[in-house]
Amino acid sequence: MKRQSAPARLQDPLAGLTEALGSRPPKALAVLPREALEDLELAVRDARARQASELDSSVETSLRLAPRPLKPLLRKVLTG
Amino acid sequence: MSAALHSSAEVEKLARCLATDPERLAALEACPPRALRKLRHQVGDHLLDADRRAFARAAAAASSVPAALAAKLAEKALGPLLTARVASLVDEDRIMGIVKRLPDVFLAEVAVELDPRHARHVLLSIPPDRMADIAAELDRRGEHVAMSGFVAYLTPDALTAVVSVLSADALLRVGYLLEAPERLDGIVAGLSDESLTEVVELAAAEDRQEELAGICSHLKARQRRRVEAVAIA
Repeated sequence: MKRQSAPARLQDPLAGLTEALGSRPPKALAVLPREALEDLELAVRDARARQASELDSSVETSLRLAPRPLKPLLRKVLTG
Repeated sequence: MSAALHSSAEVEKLARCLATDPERLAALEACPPRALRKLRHQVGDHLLDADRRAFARAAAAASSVPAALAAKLAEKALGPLLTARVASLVDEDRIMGIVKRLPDVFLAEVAVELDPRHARHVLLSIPPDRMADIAAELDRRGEHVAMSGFVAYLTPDALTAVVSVLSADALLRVGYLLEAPERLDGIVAGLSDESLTEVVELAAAEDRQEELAGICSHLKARQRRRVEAVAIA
């Protein structure tokens, strides 16, 4: 998703978080200081990035732990 | 104060969902708990949807290999957070076979990461006696806020088993923060007079009357009278 421009963020304090979440957060959050909203947005993006990374790692670990006869099947299912 | 405790609990749950430190999100405690809960659900949905294909592959893998190997991979490769998210996409029958091969400590860690909106079948697949062991483990760790997120989604038998092992401290805090407070009346009805007295005495001793009052506000007349009688005695 394309990042909002700075003017758009100034007009709408929830624009960045909306972009990070892919949906509009509750409007009650608009009362938060800009720094808190930016940090929340960053926390969401960090969580998503970390999740993707951990999922990648889990595939490698799974293939390493699987018994040899099951590795081809597991590889096929996990990597498509 | 009431909303503050609920908001603080919601921030703790949101931090867990984001795998970050609650301190980092402390500013959010100024928001109403209802808004924070909605935000937490949005975050959970976003994180599940963002990697849904990978989660679906992991779920397919869990169904393609022997249950013993699926359990080993959950514990050693996925860890509790990813297991909780994958589990929401695994069939109920398959989940039962995997759950019975996982240790209580790991299941406890998965339980607090589950989003019951997507994974209630996982909670339902855990037999009452094991759920009680898991709850006791979480109580020992002081994970009362996390427990308040899933306890309400248990079967009646599992709920009874869980309530029977919880400390007065846990009963008071989990009861106050319970996400489905309509179950509180049944929970209190299942408490012995002795347990109820412990809860009431703890609330008085630790100045936690607000939590007790919050619980009472969801009770029907009969159970409310029981609590009042203990409090007066």
